[in-house]
Amino acid sequence: MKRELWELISELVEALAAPQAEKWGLTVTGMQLELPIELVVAQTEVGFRLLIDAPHYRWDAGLRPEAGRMALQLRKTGAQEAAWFAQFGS
Amino acid sequence: MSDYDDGLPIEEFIQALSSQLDRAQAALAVKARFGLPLTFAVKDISIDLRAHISMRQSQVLITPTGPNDPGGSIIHLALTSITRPMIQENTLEIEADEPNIQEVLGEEISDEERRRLEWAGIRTVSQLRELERGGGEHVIEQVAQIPAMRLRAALQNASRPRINRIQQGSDGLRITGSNLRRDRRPQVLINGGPASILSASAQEILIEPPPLLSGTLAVETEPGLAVEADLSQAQAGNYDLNGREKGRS
Repeated sequence: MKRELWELISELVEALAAPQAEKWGLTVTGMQLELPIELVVAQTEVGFRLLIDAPHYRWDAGLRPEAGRMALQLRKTGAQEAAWFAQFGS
Repeated sequence: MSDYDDGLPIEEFIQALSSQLDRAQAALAVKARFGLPLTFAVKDISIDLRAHISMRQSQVLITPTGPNDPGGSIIHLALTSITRPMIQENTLEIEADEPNIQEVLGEEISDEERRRLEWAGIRTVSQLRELERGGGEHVIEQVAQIPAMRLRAALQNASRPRINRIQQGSDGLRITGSNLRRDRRPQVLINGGPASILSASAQEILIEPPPLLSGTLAVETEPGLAVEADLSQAQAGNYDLNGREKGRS
C-alpha cells in the first residue's frame, strides 16, 4: 500500500535528522536527496488521494521505465525557528 | 464519486501536491510542539513525473503512466518554501466579502468561459469591472471568447443593489445588502420621498428613521439600478426582508 507524500517526506526528514555529528565538530546544514517515486491517484468518495511513495520494487531490472523522481532539499533549522515552527507552523 | 479515468485536471493535481506539503509541515510542527528536536525543514522539492497529457476543451489533464508504460511526457515540478512578503506580493487583494465570479455571474457564464477568464488572470468581479472601465472589454472578448455585450449584461446584472436586511437601531435605520453604493452616494426613497442618509457603503446604508415604518423603501445607486423593499411587513425591532429589484418580479 502506497503512502501519501506527506508521510514519505515526514519519514525522510525524521530519518535524515539522525546523522548529526556536532560532537565531532561536524554540522550538516543542508541535504539533498533524490529518489525514484511512483504516483497513484486513488479515487475516494470525497475526491481523490495523491499517493506518492518510493517504488515497491527493490531491484531495477533495467527494463522498467522510471515512473518519476523526487529531489528533496532540506535545510537545518535553528532553535528559534523551531520554536516559531512549534507555535505557528500549522 | 469523481471519475479520473480520463485524467486529473492539472490545477487539482498541483493543489493536492501543495496540500501534501502543508500536511508534512503540520506533522513537523507537531514534532516541534512536543519538544522533539527539529533538525531539518523542507527547503525545496522538485518532482519529475512521467505522465500522459491530454486536453478536454480548455482543461489540461494529466494521467500518470502505469507500470511498464514507456510512453508519456516528463512534467518537472519545482516547489519552494515561500516567505510572507512573497505571499503578499503574489496574492490578489480581494475586497472584504467580495464574491467570486462564479457566485455573481452564476449561469450567465459557463465553466469553460470562467476558466478562460482565469487564464487571463481575472478571478474577481472587481477585476472584471476594472477592465470594463478601462475599455478592456474587447481584450476580454479576444482572450476569453465571451462576447462583450453578454459580459456587459452579466456585469450589469451583478451590479444590481440587493437588500438583505433592514434593522432599526438607536442610531437610525440600517439597510444591509450588497452593491448598495457605487461611485456616487446612493439615493434612498421612502414612499417616494428622499430619506436623509447618514452614511453609505456598498454593504450598508444608515438613514434617519422615518416616522412610520410602512410603505416602500427604494435604494437607487445609479439611474436604472435600484431595489425596493416593502416596509409594510415591518414590525417593531429587527426584521428581515427580501428586497425586490425594481422592474423585476
